[in-house]
Amino acid sequence: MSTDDDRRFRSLRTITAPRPATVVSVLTVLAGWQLFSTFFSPYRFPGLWTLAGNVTTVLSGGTRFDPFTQFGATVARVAVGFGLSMMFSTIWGVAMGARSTLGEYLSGPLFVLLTVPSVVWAFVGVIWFGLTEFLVPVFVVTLVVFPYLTVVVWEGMGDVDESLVEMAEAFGASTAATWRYVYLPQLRPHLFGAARIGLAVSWKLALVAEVFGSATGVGVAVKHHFETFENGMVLAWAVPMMALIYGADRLLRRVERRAARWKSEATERQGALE
Amino acid sequence: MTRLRINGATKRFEGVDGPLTVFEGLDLVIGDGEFVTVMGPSGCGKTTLLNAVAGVVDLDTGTIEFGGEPVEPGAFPFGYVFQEPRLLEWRTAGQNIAFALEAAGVDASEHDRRIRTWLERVGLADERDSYPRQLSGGQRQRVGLARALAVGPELLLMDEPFSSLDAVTARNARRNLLDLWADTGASVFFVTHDVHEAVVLSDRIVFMNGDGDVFEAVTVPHDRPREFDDPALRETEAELTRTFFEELE
Repeated sequence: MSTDDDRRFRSLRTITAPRPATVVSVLTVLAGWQLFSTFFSPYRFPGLWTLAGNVTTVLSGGTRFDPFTQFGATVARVAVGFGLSMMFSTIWGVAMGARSTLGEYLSGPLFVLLTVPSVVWAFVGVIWFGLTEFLVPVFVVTLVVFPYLTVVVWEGMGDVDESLVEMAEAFGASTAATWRYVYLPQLRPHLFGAARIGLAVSWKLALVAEVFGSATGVGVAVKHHFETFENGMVLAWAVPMMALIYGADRLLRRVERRAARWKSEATERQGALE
Repeated sequence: MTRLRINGATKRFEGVDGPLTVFEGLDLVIGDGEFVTVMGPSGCGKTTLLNAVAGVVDLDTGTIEFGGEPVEPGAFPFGYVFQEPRLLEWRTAGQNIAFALEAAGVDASEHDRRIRTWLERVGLADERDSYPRQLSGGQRQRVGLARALAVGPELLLMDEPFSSLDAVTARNARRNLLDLWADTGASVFFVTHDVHEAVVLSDRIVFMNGDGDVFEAVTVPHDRPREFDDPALRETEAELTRTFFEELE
């Protein structure tokens, strides 16, 4: 293996290898769950073993729902809704932050969007588009999630050091270069923050939308098991999605750390000097 | 020959109590290779004037000539050293200079050589791959100077670049600046509120009062190279300090 491959392999490993803190925090949650379950009947709050059994049943296709179809449908809706939310919020938030007059005009509609309850969007979606498999859930996820993320991005624009923008302007930097080298690095922590919030909220909303107007998805399975009083299965359907979103969140965190590598490198050497 | 000429520059800002005049009908000339310092109290509009020359701030009225030709502000080869280093913290010293070179349209094949040369000239040859946070305040300011010189300026704009440095560091920085200035032949438009600094560095000092009016311009009557502690220099400094404070009182 060449040294270049080696380096790439190692950097991939640093992104995917679990960190001790992550292991400890996951174990704490599991232990807390088990402890909590001893106070309830397995029907109301199953212990880890029961839950694990139920999850296995779900994943092996032991219920009336095919796991690939249901999880696949939900993941696809979350991915598209989340992607659209990130795109709209970045454009809207940056526009609001870049021009104060634009910010004033755009803050009104933004706060209207922020106050619309998700259930209302779900009904409106069904009224507008009918019972669709893809459009309504994505519509709900996007319209509910992107206003929150817009606020985060907008706030982030407020943290941009104007004196650096002035420096770039004085040296004659192009708009593209100024965005890439001056704005984006300062905005990056906020974009990652928005992405992490967005991902976590998107999947919750996707389920709400599925319950309201869809024939596939984790939400549909959850609704069915709730109606047939199978509480253990309700949780069992949620667990794999939770694990998936948690994994995606950790991955985002790692990528964020790598992007901010210059910070730790700078502090490390400062520490060695002192 | 005249390198920079500012004719009738006026700048007003929209203040809370109506328009605020920073300066009005201001004229200034800087010759080829000349080191001119504008002295004035804080808030007299020195920085605004530099920014107007750089094209970062728009003038309300007034024109700028460069090398005898009327030009748009900032549309000529200049470098800018700010009061704070204004480095991009997420880029190394070398990459910070590369940013300016790219912005100035310097050919990419030239970058490496220029970065190496100028970091060496400011005594930071070994810090090319250091991030600004890994450098001391004085070193950061030197990266800022290297960045300004690397773009090949015919005019160097400097806004109190040494005011936040300790006395010893500032003194060495001034010495370094004079050496580099002598080598490059660039004209310098320097701004400060420190009379000593103005006297040891400048060919000519232009005094501004708190209203943004030029009330005095003197040629510093000392040959170069100057010994910073020369009693004759100290005397000029004392004399100019009196002139300066009498006007301000």
